[in-house]
Amino acid sequence: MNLTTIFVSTTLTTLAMGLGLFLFVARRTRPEIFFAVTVNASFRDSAAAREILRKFNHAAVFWTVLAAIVAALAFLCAPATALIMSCAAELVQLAGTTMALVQARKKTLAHRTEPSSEREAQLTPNDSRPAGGWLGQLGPFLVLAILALVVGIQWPQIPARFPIHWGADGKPNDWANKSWASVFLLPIMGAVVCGLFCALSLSLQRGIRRIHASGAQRAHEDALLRCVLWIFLAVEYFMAVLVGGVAFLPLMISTDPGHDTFPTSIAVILAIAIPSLAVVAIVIIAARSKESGSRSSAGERAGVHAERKPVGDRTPDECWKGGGLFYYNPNDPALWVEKRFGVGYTVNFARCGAWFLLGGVLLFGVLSIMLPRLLLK
Amino acid sequence: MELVLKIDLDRAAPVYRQIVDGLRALLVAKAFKPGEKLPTVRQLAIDLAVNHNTVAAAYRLLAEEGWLELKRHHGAIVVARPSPAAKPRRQRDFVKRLRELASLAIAEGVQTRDVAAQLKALARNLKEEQTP
Repeated sequence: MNLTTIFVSTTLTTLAMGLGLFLFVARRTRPEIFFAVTVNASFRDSAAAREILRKFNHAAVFWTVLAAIVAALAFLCAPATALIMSCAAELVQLAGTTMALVQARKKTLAHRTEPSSEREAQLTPNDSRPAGGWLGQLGPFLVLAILALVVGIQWPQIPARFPIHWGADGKPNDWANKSWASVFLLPIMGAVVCGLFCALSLSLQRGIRRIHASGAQRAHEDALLRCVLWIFLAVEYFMAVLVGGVAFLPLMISTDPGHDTFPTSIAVILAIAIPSLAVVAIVIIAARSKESGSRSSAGERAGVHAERKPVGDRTPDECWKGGGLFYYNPNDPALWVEKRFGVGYTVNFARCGAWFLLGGVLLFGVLSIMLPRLLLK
Repeated sequence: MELVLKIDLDRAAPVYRQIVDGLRALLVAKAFKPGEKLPTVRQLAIDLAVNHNTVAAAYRLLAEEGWLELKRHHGAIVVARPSPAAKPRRQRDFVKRLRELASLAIAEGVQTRDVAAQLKALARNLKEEQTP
């Protein structure tokens, strides 16, 4: 499999997944939210709503087909050009469908309803225990520490120079010299990732607003939050085992020419398959947990009182920017709020904590690229 | 018993006053035992989507009335509050406010006998809740 084929097939797969995601999230909103606008619960079953949704679907398919054509043309190009065209194809889909989202929201604003001014809060303290308890949260760090200790014990067996990167043909194309940094940098970065996820879990647990204070909808909200926290913990364990396993590579990979190939194709397939499976699992779990109450079925929508002012998600429409994707409300003390599309939560960009989180993730991204270059050479 | 606090941002009464009134009603009804914790100022402000200072002011007022003890890093804790003997002036204020409320209800069309029945029922319920 050459590089061009890998780029194009990866792009076509992600374009298909992207289209599925856009079509899914447009439908998956609270019954009183439609394209990030507060409406009456009965609106989404009206002819006007169906027309808005139909036009959005057509636009999403149009931009995805256009992006797929750009990606397919990359088959005729050299790997470097194919990479640029693959990125361009992704951008075409993202920009085009986001534009369609903004258009759909503009049309929905004509049907906007004033949400209820009532607010409610449960007075029994929320369950503040992290998923899996504190011991469960400590687990990934223990796994990393034990694996690093085992590698440290076998230090004499590590070759003086070992491969750290492989090309599409499975041959190594980058090496590192044996040092503390080259052997232990990866487990340390793994621990930082686990720490970030741990911080994210705690901040989500303590900084989120529950929309309903009691009843079945509250139970669904709590169930979804627990589900998200358990997914985060599972990701931490997965990262710890993966990074810990990769730290063993200097001991396992042969450095003899001819015997030093690495199954790159399998690694690429796994790199696409595992996150894809994780996304599918999250979507299924969210659907089963009835994602924050009543996002899905018409049967549940029927339970919402049409004669009352819509509850919505207790955030003002005007604070949702960029087609309803970003929330900015300086008057809202919540750091996390429910997303108006799809599954899960988003940050309130008016809170400092949101920028700290974003900065932390970006800083980690930059450091994870820069540090190996600085320390492994 | 589901302990839920409800406020309405469109009501004329300020939000902190609505929080105080709602919590006091629950405290009088002995919905909380002494030593129980209320949600933190932060949590209640997030859930009600109001400013932290609004909730903090409401908690301070309830603490001044003797319902809560505010401890740094421990939040608001419900305390046992002996019922004080009402001073004559307090009693007069209360009767005045009750008369104003009953007049308003009658002016808006509620039957006098319904107002009287509601007041009796309310008094009976409060008496039962107060009895250990």
